[in-house]
Amino acid sequence: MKQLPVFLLTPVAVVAPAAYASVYLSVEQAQQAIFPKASFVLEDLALKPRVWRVLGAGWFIVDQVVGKSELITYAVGLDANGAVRGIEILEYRESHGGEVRNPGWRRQFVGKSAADPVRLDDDIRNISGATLSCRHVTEGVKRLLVLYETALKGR
Amino acid sequence: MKPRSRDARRARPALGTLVEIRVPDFAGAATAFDRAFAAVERVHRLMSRQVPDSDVARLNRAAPGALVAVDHWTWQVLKRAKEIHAATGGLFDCAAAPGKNGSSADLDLIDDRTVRMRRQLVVSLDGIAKGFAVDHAVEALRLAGARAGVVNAGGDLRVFGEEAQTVHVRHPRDPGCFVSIGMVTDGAVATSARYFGNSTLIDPRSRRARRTDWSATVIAGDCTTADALTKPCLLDRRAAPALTAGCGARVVLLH
Repeated sequence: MKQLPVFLLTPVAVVAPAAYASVYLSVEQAQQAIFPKASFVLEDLALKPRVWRVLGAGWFIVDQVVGKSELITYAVGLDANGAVRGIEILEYRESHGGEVRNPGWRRQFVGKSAADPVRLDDDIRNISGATLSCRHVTEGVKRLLVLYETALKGR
Repeated sequence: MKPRSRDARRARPALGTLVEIRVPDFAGAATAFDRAFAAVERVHRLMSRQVPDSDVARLNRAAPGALVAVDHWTWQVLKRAKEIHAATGGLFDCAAAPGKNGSSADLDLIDDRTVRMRRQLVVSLDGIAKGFAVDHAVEALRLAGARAGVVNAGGDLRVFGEEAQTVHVRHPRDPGCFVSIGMVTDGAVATSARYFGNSTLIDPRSRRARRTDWSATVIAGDCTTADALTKPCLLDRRAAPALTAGCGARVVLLH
């Protein structure tokens, strides 16, 4: 029988940032994550996804996909045969400005202002409750595989 | 809690959502991430209805009376699903599909890798597999040497290590707003809500989809339990505190 987890209920407080963003990896960190210790040469394809040739190993591509309320920058590594070697999210940005159905519930917090110290310096990082599927990213990866077939293979 | 720049973080698409993993940075972090994501991928391969030869797909093709061999992980999830089915008076049912009869009571677990289907069923582990994946990702991180961290699969998350972590929940009618529900140490948090129509909640009693403006957040010792319990809590809000307490968990309902 598991113990009840230690759980401290604090006064319900709300943080309403204009938008939420999370940066996981820089381009260089994602390169190292998918192709450790490799050398990269930027390919100038004049296309939106940025493509690097990974010397002796394949291709590294950084692309962006846009969902209804989110923008995701991600990286895909392809091996020399065009097979996916790894996918990493670089940055995730969301904004729900146009989607609030009933902002009236916020009136119960009248009196608390943006300057209120409660939770303001709290890093919003463990969020329970999802609003997105990874469909856009998986569709993006499929498009990058087509890009490989049409523009990179044999290059 | 201030953000710590000493944390290593990764996020990858998996299980139909984004899976985010964070550990205090250490020499074995890259390997720990790979092992944890591999555990998540394994759950996807075994339990996704879309993967043609997954255990779930094969269960759903099985004839009445058939014995189906499954991976031990799948068997464990089915076992927990049946336990929670019993504990919630049937409000959690991984085999309650719209337009069909049958429930998880119609499958029997034999030894630790075999399932007998008493009738044709449409089994979906979508309501519990994410939590199970999170639990196993945490185990993989621990085995790889991480002494603390968080695994978050699209909002189903588990915290491990000595330090308490703040958890926020999206407001169900205003998803850009985050409500702090407190701090968790060594525990799991899972939330179900419609969030503008992204998820479908089937009521096993009527076999119909239920719409709700509420969210249910369950805090439990493990994410498998937390994940599964969110649905019964949304279906019967009045019973939610008793249902969760009966499984050693707690619930927060927001509207």
